[in-house]
Amino acid sequence: MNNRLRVLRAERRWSQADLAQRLEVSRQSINAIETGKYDPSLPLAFKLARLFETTIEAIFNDAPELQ
Amino acid sequence: MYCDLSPEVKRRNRREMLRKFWPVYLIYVVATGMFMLIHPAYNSPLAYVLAISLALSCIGMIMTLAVVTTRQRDEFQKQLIIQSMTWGLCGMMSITTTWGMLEVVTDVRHLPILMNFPIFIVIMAAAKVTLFRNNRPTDE
Repeated sequence: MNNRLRVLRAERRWSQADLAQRLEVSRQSINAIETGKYDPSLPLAFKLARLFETTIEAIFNDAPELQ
Repeated sequence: MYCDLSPEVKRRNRREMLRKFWPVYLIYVVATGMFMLIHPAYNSPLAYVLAISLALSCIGMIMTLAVVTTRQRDEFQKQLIIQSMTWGLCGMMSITTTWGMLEVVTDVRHLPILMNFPIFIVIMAAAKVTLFRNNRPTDE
């Protein structure tokens, strides 16, 4: 699954550690989500959407990435 | 260990884990040591006491592991811990099954069933270190 987490985080000038602290997860989790190694659970996805004041669909996209 | 939770959360997690783990681990070490040093007579009351305390401490450690894993708030790290436990289980079953087959058809030395737990723990620990190392956050 593709996501815009890195972009959204960069827009707010947050480091991975900042975002991790806001979500009460490890930086390891943020890195794994950003690199596509791990898809978050629905509660964590909602938490992310709420934090970035957007929708889950605006962050995550299950369409295959365009080459 | 390669964990990037806040220091306070890390300390709290470690404290909680140690508080639950150490008493049962201590019983396990003492019982194993006594088994090795005393060699209790076969079928004696001491043999029963040591065997039961060893078994209970193993169960205690497994339960502690389960409780700590269940309460782990970081879902990615929880997934890594579950993966390492799966590796531990698969490794233990592979080794003991192969060894058991060899015991049936060859003169290989008997492997006591009580070795299952240390085999599981060693493989699980190795898998945990490897998985956490492979999933270390790399860049910002």
